[in-house]
Amino acid sequence: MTVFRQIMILFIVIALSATWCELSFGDEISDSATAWKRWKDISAAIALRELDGPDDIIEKAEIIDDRVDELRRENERLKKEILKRRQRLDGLLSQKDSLQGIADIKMGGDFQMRQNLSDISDRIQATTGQIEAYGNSQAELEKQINRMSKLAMSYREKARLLHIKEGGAL
Amino acid sequence: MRLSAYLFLILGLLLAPAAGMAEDSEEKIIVRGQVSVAGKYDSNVDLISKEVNDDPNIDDEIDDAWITEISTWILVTSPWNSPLLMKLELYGLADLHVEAPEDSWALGRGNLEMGYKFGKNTLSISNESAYFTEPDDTDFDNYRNSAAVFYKRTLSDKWQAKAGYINTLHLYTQNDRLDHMAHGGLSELQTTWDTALTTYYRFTYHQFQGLDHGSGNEDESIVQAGRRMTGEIGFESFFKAKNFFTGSYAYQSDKNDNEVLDEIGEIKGEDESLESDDEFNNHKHKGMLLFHHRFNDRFSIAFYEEFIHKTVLAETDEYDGDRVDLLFCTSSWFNVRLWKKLYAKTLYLYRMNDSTYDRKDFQDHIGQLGLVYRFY
Repeated sequence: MTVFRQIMILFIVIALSATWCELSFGDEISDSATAWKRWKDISAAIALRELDGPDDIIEKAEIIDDRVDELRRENERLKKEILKRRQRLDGLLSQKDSLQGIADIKMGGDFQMRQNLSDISDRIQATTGQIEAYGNSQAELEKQINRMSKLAMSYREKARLLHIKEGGAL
Repeated sequence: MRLSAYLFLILGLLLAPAAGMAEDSEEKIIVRGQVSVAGKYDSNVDLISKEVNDDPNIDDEIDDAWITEISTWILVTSPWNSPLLMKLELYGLADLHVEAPEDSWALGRGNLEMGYKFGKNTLSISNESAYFTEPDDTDFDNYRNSAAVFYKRTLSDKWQAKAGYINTLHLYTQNDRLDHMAHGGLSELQTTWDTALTTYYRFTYHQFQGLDHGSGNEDESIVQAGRRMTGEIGFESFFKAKNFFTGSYAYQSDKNDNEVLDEIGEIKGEDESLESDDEFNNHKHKGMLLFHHRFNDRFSIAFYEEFIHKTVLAETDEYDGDRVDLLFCTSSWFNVRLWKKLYAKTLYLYRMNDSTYDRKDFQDHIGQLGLVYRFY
């Protein structure tokens, strides 16, 4: 069998496996780093209207508070995910360091060793990317928490002023 | 070409401080790396058997060596959210023998991978070149080049697949009759059970051929047409945030049309029994375990165990298809973070071969103490 024929067979195998993958599975993969961005939009529920009284505004502030609580829980989850991946990255880097040392002693090692080292580099790259993704999402999330907390406070202040204006007790 | 090894080393040393600066800046390209310097003792640097050492008719003797080792590693990767994939890895190593400077050697290795991400899937091409300097009296594949095309597909959150074509080139600067090339294919399925456990199943096939360097006579090459198949299963477990445990088992079968061919290339003396790609006509069972435990941010340990059962099928004058090697390697590391990103690393390694052909036996102890500065 000529080398050329074997190369052609390999490419056909790759193409078939790719096609099989396409047929067997979809591309829908959840991205847990940014899951909170896909939560149900509450902007319509908390939008202030002209006829809203103090009780309506307080009710909307409570909706915001509930969302802030959910965001805080999500923030804690993201922090844990980041920590977990940082520890994993630390382990991967040590793993690479150890295997590289063994490969050096073996004057480069064999194909399996090099493939494993290359795979570890890929995992380091992937884990680094995940840390970046979670980190960026978490930074945005914290800004969102601050923004919504301030919004809830402003709603309460607005409700208080409206209550005074309507002649109610504080 | 010899200078390229040192060039990689120097390049890495120069890039290392830049790597640190890049990490602190707003640059989106991700840079990681480390520089290390270590003192090393090797009790049997040429892996000579006691039988050879005691034979007055053979010049080779068991020699120990004190070695200063300098190494650097840089990994530059494209931003995580970029569809264009780029991975540049540079590695340089110099083993400087204190008492016998003529035995010093260096390695320079560069790997560039470019690709494109289609969502969670990647098509990439890569090329890795490695150049070893060597003591003068060797037949060694100083220059190795490996080019590959890979398609990686994320099938689901749990399953990932990889398939590709690989071409490797081994050039022996001091004996071009040993030069050879291999075309190969790799397919791999990886299962991520959860963040704590990953398993993989890999199959590789290589077709070897000698290089005639334009003479048209392939018989001049010592390596002739051959086939190598390897099946491998492995796992990687990360648990309780402090433990990394990986392991693999591989079975390899190699058959070359040159039926007397067993091993080619050596650094010096008899050390060709080391695991390398340049062993032919054999069956191998290979098992490996690596465990890493982090006590806290300051202290960590690692253990490595490797066992190889190799049946050499080559029909040589010395053994007739019935040589069996049992290679064992164990190693342990203890790492201490001294200050910020500066670490101290100690290593002890023991390796041995118990062969039915006594001249291939060896025992070797290696101890190492060094400093590592990491840019991550």
